[in-house]
Amino acid sequence: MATVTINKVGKYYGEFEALKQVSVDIADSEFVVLVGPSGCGKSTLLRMIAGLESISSGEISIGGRVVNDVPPTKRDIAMVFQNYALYPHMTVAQNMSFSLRLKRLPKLEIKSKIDNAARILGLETLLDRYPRQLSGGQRQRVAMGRAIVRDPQVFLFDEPLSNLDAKLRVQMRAEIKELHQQLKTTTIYVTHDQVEAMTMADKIVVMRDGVIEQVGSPLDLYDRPANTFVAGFIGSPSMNFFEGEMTTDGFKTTDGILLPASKGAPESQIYGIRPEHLRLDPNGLGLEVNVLEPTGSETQVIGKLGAHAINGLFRERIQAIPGSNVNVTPDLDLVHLFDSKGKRVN
Amino acid sequence: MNVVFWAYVLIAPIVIGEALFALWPLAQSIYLSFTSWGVFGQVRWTGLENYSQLLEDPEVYSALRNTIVIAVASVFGSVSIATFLAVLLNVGVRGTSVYRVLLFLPVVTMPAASAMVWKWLYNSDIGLLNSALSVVGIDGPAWLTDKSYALWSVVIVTIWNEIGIGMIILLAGLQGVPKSLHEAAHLDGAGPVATFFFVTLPLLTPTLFFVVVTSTIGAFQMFDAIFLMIGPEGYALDSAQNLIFLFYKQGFIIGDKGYAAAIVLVLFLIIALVTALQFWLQKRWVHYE
Repeated sequence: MATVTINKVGKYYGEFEALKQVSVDIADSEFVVLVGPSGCGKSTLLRMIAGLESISSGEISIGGRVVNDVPPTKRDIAMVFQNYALYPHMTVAQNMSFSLRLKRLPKLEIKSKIDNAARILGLETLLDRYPRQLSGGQRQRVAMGRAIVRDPQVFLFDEPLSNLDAKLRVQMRAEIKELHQQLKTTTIYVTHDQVEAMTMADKIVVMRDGVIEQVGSPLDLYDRPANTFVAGFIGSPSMNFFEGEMTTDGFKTTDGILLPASKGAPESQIYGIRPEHLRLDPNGLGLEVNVLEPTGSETQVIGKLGAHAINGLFRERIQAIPGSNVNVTPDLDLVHLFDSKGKRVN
Repeated sequence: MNVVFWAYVLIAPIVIGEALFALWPLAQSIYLSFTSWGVFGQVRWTGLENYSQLLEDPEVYSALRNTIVIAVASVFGSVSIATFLAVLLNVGVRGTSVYRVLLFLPVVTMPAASAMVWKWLYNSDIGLLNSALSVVGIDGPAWLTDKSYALWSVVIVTIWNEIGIGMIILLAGLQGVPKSLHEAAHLDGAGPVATFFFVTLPLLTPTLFFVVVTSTIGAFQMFDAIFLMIGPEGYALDSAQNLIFLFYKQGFIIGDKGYAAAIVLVLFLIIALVTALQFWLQKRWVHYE
């Protein structure tokens, strides 16, 4: 276990600046998720921590030691790749023991470590199988087993669940989190799936175009997004945004709809409300229904408020036909206000 | 019915081609191997006489030995060098594409032209090879006329010919090894040498197997270098001729097509057996994903 410090790290590919002065402090035993859309630089940052990419500027420290020029094998880290990167010609046991055999550890010690990892991950009966004989979830576990046996200071995960089906992804998500709680190894996890980030992280780092947009706990990011990008990225379905201006009566959108706002709300140009923070209210605004998506536990309404396409998510069961209106009102305590540049103001 | 008819129409060209140019000649050869040809072309059924003659012919044993030496040495040499060069090119040295073209040139060069060049290089009086050796005080041998060297001179040219195609195929195989496996090995603590032997090479074995099988078949049938460099009248021919050259000599110089057919059928059986053996042995060393 160790701290990881990323200090003003930059990365250039020729003229292209992939990472711009990125700084993050990761505490010992923390589970940090780097999240952002494709091309935001999250995987590049992870690979730089692993030592698989050079560092153009800045410093990366692991356990207080600057590792800029330390080769990957000496960084005391273990990485789980997106495609698992299991050696296809080796059995599960051989895959897991490869690093230990290279270190020339005694056979008994290797066996003990393999057995221990296999027990933790439920791989005891699969040790003699080849990767091609395993399911996606089992391969994922072997990849984690290969990381565990090394007993590293830091685990790095590069979108490890993206090749799994939805159901297995949920299951593996819980398993990885449970594993972290058990081992308490500092973990850095890359994903583009904000649900994965929200459910697994102690701390989320939201990235876009090579810069960090916000760092915080999952609920911090959900409750107080620093800007419209984070507000739109975190939460599913995405936050609804309206452009306009704050008036004494409320927030007046560009097409003249008056949205309620708290008294004394600061001047702002963008009004944000999450779909789940709209309430059914007979006296509220008329939301024209385009599509209803009932899931049983909740109903998503995809519709229009004036010219704005918006989503609403309700616990109630709604019976409405497309073209009809449901009346909704935003929860005033949960309204997010942003300036014209998208920066949070309330 | 219609679908079946058109299916047969579509496969007809390959079936007819295969029947005309592969199966019919094979059947003819089998028939010829049981016959004897007279001076004026008269054919006589002789049963197994050609085969019994073949078993007692020291020239056949000598040619068989040379065939095996050429096949083993050239396959081992060309595949080893091709693998080494492919690995070097795969690392991404500057000018990779230029090296790739240069190393592939022998494959697209006319065998007659390259044999002429090699004949000059091997020339004991004015050849580049002996001139180079004389610079360091070595009196070079008569490469193509000395019976101790003729076979190995042929082997060297065969290796040179085979490297290019093997290298290109192996390079494609190397490029098919996922980068993430090398990265995983790197993180696991493997250096470049350990990564090559424990990760890259095992994953390259399907490609290596293909190259070894095709090179072996090609080496068993090698003819150009012997014919063009040593020649049917060459002094050192006995020490270098292989079964395919002996077949040519018996069939087209001496004119005993029946005996020649028997020789070439024996060669065919040897190639088939060796290939079958290679397929059987692949279970022990080839790793498929």
